Amino acid sequence: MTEIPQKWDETFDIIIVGAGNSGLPAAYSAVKAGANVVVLEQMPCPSGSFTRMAGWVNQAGTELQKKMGIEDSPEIMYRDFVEVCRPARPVNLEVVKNYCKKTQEIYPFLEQYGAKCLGIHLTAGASRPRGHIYSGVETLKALHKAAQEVGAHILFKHKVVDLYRDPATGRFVGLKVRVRRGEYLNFRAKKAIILASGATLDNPMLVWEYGSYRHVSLCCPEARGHTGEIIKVLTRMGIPIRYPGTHIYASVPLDYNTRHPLSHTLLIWWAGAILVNINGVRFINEDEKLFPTVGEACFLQPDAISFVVFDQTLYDIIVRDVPQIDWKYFRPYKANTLKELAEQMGVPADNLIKEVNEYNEDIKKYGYDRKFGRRKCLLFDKPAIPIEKPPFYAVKGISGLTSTRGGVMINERGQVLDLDERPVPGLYAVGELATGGLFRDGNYICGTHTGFAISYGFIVGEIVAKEG
Amino acid sequence: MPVIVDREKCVGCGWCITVCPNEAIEWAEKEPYDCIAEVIPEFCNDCGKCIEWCRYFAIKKLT
Repeated sequence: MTEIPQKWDETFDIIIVGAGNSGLPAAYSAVKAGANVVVLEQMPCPSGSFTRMAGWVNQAGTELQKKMGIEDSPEIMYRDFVEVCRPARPVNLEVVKNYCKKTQEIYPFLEQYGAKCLGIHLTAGASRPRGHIYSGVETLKALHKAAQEVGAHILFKHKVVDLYRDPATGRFVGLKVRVRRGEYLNFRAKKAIILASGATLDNPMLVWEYGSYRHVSLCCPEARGHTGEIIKVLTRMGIPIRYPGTHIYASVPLDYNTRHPLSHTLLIWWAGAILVNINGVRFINEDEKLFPTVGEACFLQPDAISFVVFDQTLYDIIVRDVPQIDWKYFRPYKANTLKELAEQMGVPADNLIKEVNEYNEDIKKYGYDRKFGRRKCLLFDKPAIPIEKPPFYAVKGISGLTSTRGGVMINERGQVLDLDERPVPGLYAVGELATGGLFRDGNYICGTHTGFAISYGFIVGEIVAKEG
Repeated sequence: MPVIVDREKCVGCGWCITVCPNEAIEWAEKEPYDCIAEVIPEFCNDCGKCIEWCRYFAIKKLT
């Protein structure tokens, strides 16, 4: 254990590690509740994974849902979560309840600070449409503005490299911060430290440690500044990190030709396109409710490559109804016949034509495809449509790492738990780092991390400031 | 000779920053809320680890 320094350079009531989409709301609510708060961020700007998300924040019972005639409530959301994600016992279900309840407040809050909601989608795993669509950067801007306006100190280029723990009481009392090369400061936290530092995906050594060599060779679209320093320190201190390994999922293919972090091809297949591999053959029901199943299937195809194939009808629908897709990040293949398209994609034309024809016939004749049983275009909750109006399009995708489904375990107050499920004094966690055990087997409702990050940020910030 | 980061290809995944043994690569703000990697030439000892790890082929040796 690192010895506690004789002299502290800075002292605050609450220190938050990470200026992202859980750290900033935590800072906001802690300052509102009267605490003196500092946020430490290793990057030169606020840097949530939000800036690269597919675009949904799950919220239940918002004004917008009511306006659109969607009946939803935190109770239904809670039921969905438990059914789909099946949190492993000893996860405290109060955490999930609190999260579901708090999501209602996100929508008006973001609206107030200038992040517009662009619509609502049904997301994989949810029983009704509650994926509120946002631009990641706009959301981060809004949260940043909110924290700044109430007067939270936000220090950039401050990288936390170690935590100090009082050996006598076991309490976390401060942390060591690298300001620049060879220059370190010691920050003391009078009340508590809130960790909002995300997971491990920006650190290849940890991806390798918890994932596999196959994961190391993939792109990494969603993490932002998740270098895993905190996870390393916690591991050294004996704080358990739950399931970081099996939960490094390669679930979101990106456009192979641009590899842009925002070229999520899942948005296209959920809007109604079909997925084929490099042999031109479909391999899964694209609307499978368990999101990781499809992601894993794409990852397991030869070379981790998958194509989404669609036509002009769907292209128009996407332009109209999937606002988070920006075509400048994609480089789709385009051709007037499927044969030419297959040539451009480099897949056997016979296979592709056969697959598409079979799919079209089934959809028209039976209303579902007989090969895998697809019935719907998931995002809009509408019947699947045939792929027949030229020109045809295809986007080549290569699987990428997205978010992790593991981390430390927290109780309903956000306190980090040790191996005996006892809260560690002075240490709290929110955001992606705090999702340990919430998603058993990686089962996951799209848009959960995002809503969880913001809502639990609010909750924990307030609790710590009031009681800490 | 130190290495150089291609500002167009770099997506800011941060792998080079974590693997650099010499703390010679840091985040730099490319545009608001978007960071990429930046090499500090005086600390770079040309070990080539960052080039090995970069999945976007965004780091090159200066020749």
